[in-house]
Amino acid sequence: MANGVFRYEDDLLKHYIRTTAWLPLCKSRLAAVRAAPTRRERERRLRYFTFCAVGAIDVLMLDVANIIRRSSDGRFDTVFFFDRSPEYVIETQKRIPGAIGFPGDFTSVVLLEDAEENSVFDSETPLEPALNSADVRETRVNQLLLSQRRNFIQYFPFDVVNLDLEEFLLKPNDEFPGRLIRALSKVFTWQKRPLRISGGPSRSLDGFSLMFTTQVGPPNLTDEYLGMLRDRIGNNLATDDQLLDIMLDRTGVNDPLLLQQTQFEMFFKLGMPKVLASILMGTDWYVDAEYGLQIYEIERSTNGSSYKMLHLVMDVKRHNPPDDRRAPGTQSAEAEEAYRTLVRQVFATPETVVSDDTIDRAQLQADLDRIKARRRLYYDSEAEDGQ
Amino acid sequence: MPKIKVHEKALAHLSRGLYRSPASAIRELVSNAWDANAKVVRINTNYPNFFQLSVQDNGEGFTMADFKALMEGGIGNSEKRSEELPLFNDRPVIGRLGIGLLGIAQICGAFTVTSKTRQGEGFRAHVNLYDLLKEKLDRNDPAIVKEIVSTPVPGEGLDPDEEYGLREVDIGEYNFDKNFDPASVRRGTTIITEDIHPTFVQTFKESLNKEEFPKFKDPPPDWSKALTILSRVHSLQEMGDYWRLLWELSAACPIPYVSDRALPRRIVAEDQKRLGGYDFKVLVDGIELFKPVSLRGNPGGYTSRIIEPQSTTIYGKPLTFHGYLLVQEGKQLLPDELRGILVRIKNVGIGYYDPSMLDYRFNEGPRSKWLTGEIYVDQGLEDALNIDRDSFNRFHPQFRFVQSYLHKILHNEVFPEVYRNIDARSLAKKEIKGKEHRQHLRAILSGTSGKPVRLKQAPRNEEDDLPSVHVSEEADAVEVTMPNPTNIKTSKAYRDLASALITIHGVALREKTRDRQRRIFTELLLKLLAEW
Repeated sequence: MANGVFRYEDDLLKHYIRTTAWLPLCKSRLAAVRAAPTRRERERRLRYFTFCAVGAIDVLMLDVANIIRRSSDGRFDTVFFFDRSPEYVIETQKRIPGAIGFPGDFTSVVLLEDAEENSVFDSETPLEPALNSADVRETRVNQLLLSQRRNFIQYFPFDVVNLDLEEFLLKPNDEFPGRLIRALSKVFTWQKRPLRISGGPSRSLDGFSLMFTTQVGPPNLTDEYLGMLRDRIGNNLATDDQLLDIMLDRTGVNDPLLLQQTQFEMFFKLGMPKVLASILMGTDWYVDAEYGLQIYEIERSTNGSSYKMLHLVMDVKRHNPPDDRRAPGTQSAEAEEAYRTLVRQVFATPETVVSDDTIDRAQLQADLDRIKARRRLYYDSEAEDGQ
Repeated sequence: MPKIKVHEKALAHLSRGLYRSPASAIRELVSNAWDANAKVVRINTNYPNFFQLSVQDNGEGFTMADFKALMEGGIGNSEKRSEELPLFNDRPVIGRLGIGLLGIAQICGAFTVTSKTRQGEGFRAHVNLYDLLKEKLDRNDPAIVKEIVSTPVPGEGLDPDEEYGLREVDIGEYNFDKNFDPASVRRGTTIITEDIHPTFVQTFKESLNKEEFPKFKDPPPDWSKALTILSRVHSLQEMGDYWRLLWELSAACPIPYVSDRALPRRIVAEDQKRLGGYDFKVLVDGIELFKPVSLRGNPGGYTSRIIEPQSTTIYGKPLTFHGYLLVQEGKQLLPDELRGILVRIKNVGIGYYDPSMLDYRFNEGPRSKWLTGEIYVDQGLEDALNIDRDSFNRFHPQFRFVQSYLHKILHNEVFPEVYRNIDARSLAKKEIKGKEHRQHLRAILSGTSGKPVRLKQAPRNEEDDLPSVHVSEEADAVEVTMPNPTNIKTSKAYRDLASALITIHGVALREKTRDRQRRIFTELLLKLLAEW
């Protein structure tokens, strides 16, 4: 990752996904915001959470397309991002000035224990001088992490959540059900927080757009994780008679265990989206059936081996009525129907494989160049380095 | 002869408590960047959350060996860079790469230094400063206070040439990142806090809270607009610590003014040209800073005094300086922090603008709140600097020279001119007022007489005990000659009014009956006072 710039920044396969999947989804999300009932809600700017990496190509693409609007003094202050590297946070902020950057490990910050999680809190309380602990590094770091977490929570909800994590959703070494899954559950719960609009009403979002990226695999998943994926597929098959035939047609097998043993990749692709859908359902959201769940696949080679990335793109809706107005343990009818549709779609529709054969390289390159030209307006790294 | 020593523990204390504000600590890192031939220094505070702070430059960087020598050779013991590296664009060398590097320790307990040279050598080091250093020093904790030279042998007396009891004090430790690849970074040096102190974060976050700081505004990227915002507050205190950081850095760093017309009569044009020629930028959170002074458009005007380059030698050491003094006539400078005189050594601000004007001994009343100035010391005065580089030893002979020179100019030239200007403004104001009064008097007299009135003033003579009014009636107008106010023997403040009263009295006396005289006088009097 030379100079902190994302190594796949120039990858045109990735850029195809940005322009073909992410951009239209964000456009439609902006249209949804513009259709809000009150003027203040309609005129507000899109709130975007991302793991944009130093290059911030996704943010700048939305800037070029006028989907993300900067503040009157030119700040990207409705863009929020995490980066594990403190240095990359700084580099990112040079390219998208005014964006709100969080240094640190996203999952660790999200999963940090906070005794006051569900009560009224503010992000500055943890920063108060500790009464009974010495002023040592451990104390300070804990204070900062807690403050950071609360700060992060206060920025919720976002209109677009781009979890372009470039890593595995399921990690064999993680205690089941996995840190990332637990973190996502927290994030989707915080998405229910009311949006405060200055001078206007506070209202929970009806929906948001979600982009999620994961590597396929890993192949050495533990039995618990494999069992979870099998159960997802098995439950789907048990509740919809037609799925068995669909699966047989697509994979040649009708048994989840056999699928796992013989076609791990296919097994993962059928099971994983439902894991995500379940986390959403568990936090009072569901994948909108109208847009559905679009899955794109790209293959990357590195050091002689290759791996596949899946990009999931979806619109997410809030249950209606929401959970605080439903009987415990029940789902809204609309959400249940949407889930059935989604499952069938995942079983029936293969992912879109993005390869050199399917993209227009010249057009994508021209688009990427336009975005980079915009970036140079904010920060010209070449000029600054070229002494 | 036994030697007098400074205890190492005292020096160790300095590593933690040297600077009075974050800006002072950051200023030292900016100075290091300047000395490293950097063109751009970027300070990132992680605004608006402040979870980390970094200072990044695109200078020459330094090597792992340099860093090791600095850390292990004793902080503050480094050589002046002038011997190693000529600075480009005739930049003067500011200081030493040494204790300033630890400035950031003021706000964190650990930090990362990443550096890469033009030749591509580089390193990343994590520096961890010991917690609770003071307590450990006080109890001579052997983990950090180490005796490295012999103690006197009992019964043998002291050897005058021996360095007994010399101790080394460790204030922290560092380690190099073995996985660091210099190709992954650009040339220059980056320092990032690892565990920024919660109090710093809290204070800065609070400073953005509009309930606590109702005048707070997001600082605009254009610094001249930021200065307009600041010119509307009495003190930086009203804007909170974030704005204070920006302002203090803008005052301290060797950067240009917003333009060569930042001050009236282009009094900083020469300095602007010189500062611009150094090609040095400082940005905080993307905001490019310029000096915090930009004054124009004052209705009372400005009195300025350019201090041409002065050169002298004191105790064999050269001292040269130049600068300017500027008075914003009749109007207090805003914010308050701009009041006074800022001394710069090698273009770097020492402390803040000094509102005492280097202990000026005369009371100029509110007029001292109208004065701002900068003294650029090009050579000398460094020995007068206190170790925090924020203040001076006021009894240092070079400081006394600068002080005395400025005080003479202030007392003999600047403030006398200010007083003359005040008098001139008062006179002009009085003349305008007098004209307005006469116009008013003419209007009410015309209304009473039914004819246009020509109002004349009697010639200026000796003071008159009984000033009189002369009225002559013509066919189409009345000519009234009123007493000249300067001839009337009364308090200066009431002469215009006295002249007007005598005039209306004289006009009223022309009526034939007493009743009529009384009525006309009362009428004229009330009309006169209604708009006086």
